[in-house]
Amino acid sequence: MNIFKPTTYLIFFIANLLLYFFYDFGKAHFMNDNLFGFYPVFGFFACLALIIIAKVLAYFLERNEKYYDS
Amino acid sequence: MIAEIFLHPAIPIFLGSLLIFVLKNKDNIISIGSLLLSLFVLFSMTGEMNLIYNLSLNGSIDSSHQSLNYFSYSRLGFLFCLVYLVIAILGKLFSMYRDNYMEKALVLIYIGSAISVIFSGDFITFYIFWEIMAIASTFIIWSANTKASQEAGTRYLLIHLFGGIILLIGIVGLSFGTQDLTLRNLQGSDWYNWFILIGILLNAGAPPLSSWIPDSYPEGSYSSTIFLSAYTTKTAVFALIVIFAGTKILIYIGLYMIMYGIIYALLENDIRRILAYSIVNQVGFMVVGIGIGSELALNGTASHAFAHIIYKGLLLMSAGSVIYITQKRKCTDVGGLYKLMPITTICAIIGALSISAFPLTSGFISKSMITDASFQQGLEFVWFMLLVGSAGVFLHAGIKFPWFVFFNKNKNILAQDPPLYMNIAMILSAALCLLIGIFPSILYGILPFEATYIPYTANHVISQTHLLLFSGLAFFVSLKYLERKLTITLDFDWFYRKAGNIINSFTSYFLCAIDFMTKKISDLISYDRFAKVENYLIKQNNISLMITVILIVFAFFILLNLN
Repeated sequence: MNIFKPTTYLIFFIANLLLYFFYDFGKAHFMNDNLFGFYPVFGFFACLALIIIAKVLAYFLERNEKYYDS
Repeated sequence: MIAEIFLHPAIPIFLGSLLIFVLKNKDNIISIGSLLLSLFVLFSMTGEMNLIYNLSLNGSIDSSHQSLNYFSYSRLGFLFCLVYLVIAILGKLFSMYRDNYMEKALVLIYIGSAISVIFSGDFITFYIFWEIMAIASTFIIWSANTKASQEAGTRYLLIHLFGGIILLIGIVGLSFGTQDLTLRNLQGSDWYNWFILIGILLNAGAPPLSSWIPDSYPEGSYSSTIFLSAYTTKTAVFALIVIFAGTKILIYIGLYMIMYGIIYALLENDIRRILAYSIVNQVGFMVVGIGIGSELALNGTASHAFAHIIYKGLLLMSAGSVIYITQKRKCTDVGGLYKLMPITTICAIIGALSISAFPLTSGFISKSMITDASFQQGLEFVWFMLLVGSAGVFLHAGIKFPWFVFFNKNKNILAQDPPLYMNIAMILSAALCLLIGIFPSILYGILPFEATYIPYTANHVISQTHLLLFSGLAFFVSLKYLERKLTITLDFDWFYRKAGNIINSFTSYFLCAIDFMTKKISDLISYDRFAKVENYLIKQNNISLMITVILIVFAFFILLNLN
């Protein structure tokens, strides 16, 4: 099914981002989170960072699943 | 007096479990009947009658030293008891086809003791039911009847007995220190407060021993995991709210748990272990809320616990359905099930959206209270990390779980939706998630403090939606790196599963050497009988390691009391 293809997802996001042209967040919480595109950019890079940390950790800690049986 | 005892909501449940042992083939009816009776008792306590019960049931059994208070009603207790009973009934519906009356009776004991902990008014009652809960849950894990469950259950029991002893040391210290064992908020840095805190945190899955959750829960049967996920950790959350609300160190422990849960879940291959890691992650949010300790934060914690129990139950039900139908439990083995199991898929997606706090689901109206409380208290770093955590939840549970199980590559597995009652249980749970999300006032009305929080502001809806959608984008961008392999990730349990063995084999060699020497001397005495017992104990590596640790803790305790 085409709806689950990442490209469809991407187009949907870019369309979604346009909402920011029409919406004013008002007062910021911390870190100027009322700026244009704060939450999308934050969400994207936070997740990338988490994935990178996980992969680095996997390099040291990942073992074969029979590890404890042997 | 006897009539009053029957008004405790746990009593019908305990009686039900006894009845199951007698009438083995009526286990489903007895389970659901006793839970419904308990729900009736719980509701009869609210309203105008409330005060009378409060007065007559407080301070009941007098001993010479300490009066035990087995029933102390609070709004928070009502909230927790309500959600415990709701998920119990849904879980019992789901486990209708599980043919194991022992497991069903044990689950009732487990639920009853969890409810008794909630309503206990002093530390001794609290401790007794706390331990019954640990033992009952161990038997529930064992009742899956696999080799893995036997081993995991033993490790689970050892960890919890260890935690129980630490808690007991704290309670004994508290008794000596203050002569007052009423369950209350403990502040201050007396040593026994730390012991109690550690004992409770261990049950909440706090570092460094978080690994017992993903180690043991997924080894339960497809139905019992739902119960296991709901009670132990959330009872610990309840205890933390009552005893340690506002203890600042909890904020950082909670943040660690949030990150730990996300990162380990990303690397995990077993479906239910992903969800078990996400329990640690979600409890982390609650622990942060308890650490912040403001009224908004505690309301957020209580409502998050309420919402979490239901959507986590739902997610584990959908995982349980997949396991029940396909007999496969790894991401690498399943995939493309959405066409074959449409109801399960939809319910799992609703659960996944709830856990990631999408607007119109129960997670949205509860988790944001904790985030906003951190903002109100001016905790910038905490707010920042909670935001990262919120994005990460969508990554590991909100999208990874449904994607790898129901979509991804089609593995050509034969499957269909599970039988009727399992479907009903999932649909009802999913409906509850949406109901609470759409009408938050249902939940806000029963929170411990007055709730004036408004979740549906345009700011909040837009920011949360964007945060989550773009977290999803990050998932698909890096999908290639997230494909699972047949691996496990080492955790703290390595120390007692591998390193413990090395230490133990060393000590057993040492003991054998001593044995050899003593045998020469003690040949005259009937040695063999003792040798058998001793050899058996030495072979139980984990037990001997844990006893060593406990002895060290006791030694420490004795040293503290030397003046």
